[in-house]
Amino acid sequence: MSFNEFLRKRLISYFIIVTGVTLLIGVVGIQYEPDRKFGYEAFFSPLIFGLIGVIPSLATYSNKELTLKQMILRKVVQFFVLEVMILTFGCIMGIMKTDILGTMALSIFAVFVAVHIIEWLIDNKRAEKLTLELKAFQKSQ
Amino acid sequence: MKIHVETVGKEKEEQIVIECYEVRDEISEIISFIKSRDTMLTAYADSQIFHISLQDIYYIDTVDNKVFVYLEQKVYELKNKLYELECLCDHKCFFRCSKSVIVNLMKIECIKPALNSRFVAKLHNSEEIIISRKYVPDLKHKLHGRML
Repeated sequence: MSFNEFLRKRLISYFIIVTGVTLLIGVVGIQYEPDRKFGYEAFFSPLIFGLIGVIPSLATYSNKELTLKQMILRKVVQFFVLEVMILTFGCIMGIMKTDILGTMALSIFAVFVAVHIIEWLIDNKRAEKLTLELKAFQKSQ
Repeated sequence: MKIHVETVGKEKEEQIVIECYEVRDEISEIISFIKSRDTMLTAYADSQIFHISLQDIYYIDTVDNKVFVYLEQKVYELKNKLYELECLCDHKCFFRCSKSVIVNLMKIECIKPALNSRFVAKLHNSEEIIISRKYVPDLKHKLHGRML
């Protein structure tokens, strides 16, 4: 995969992460701090977390085709780096309190899984389209 | 274009004659198609020689510098190089789907997503082969090319 193609895919991942983080902030916020008030700057936090969330995916970049084993290993590395980066950033900025770190770590995992499911669904759609085109090709023979 | 089919006796050799004003693209395509139907590969298995028709091939794979051809149930070894076979199979039914595999598009049942932006082609004999992401645009081009 060329680096440009990789970046294009990461841009898609970024927007999926931003949506996931927005949803996550809403759900966790209602659960733990329903009365908390935010200023306009709060609108930037999903965008910032999305950016932080997409950086660890650099671990999965390779111009050579990775084997399934290599890919899984890199995904594991990506996930742990992601957890460390988001939790560290959240604590440093004072957004996350230490008593909800466990919940946050689980929530990050949920977003991580959701992003991969959505990406897989997009690929599945592409595969279905290719299959339809293939069937038309076979009929034309 | 008129199509004329004439039945001949067994004593005569079967032949296809194309009468045209000039060899246009569509005529070349027809010639290429007829040649592909007629192309036989010489394959080896158990110290025996076999002749295999291109249309019976599911896919061709390279393992440790050896080239193998896979039919519905059987596997044979070929003495040709993969790039030679790629030229030989260079009509629209065959497609280079990874560094070491050429697949017959007519034998693919469906395409499914795999990890890392790759796709898996499930063949009619239930075997699955990987379509490398590098070759996905070529596949699209090939399928669209035929449908235009």
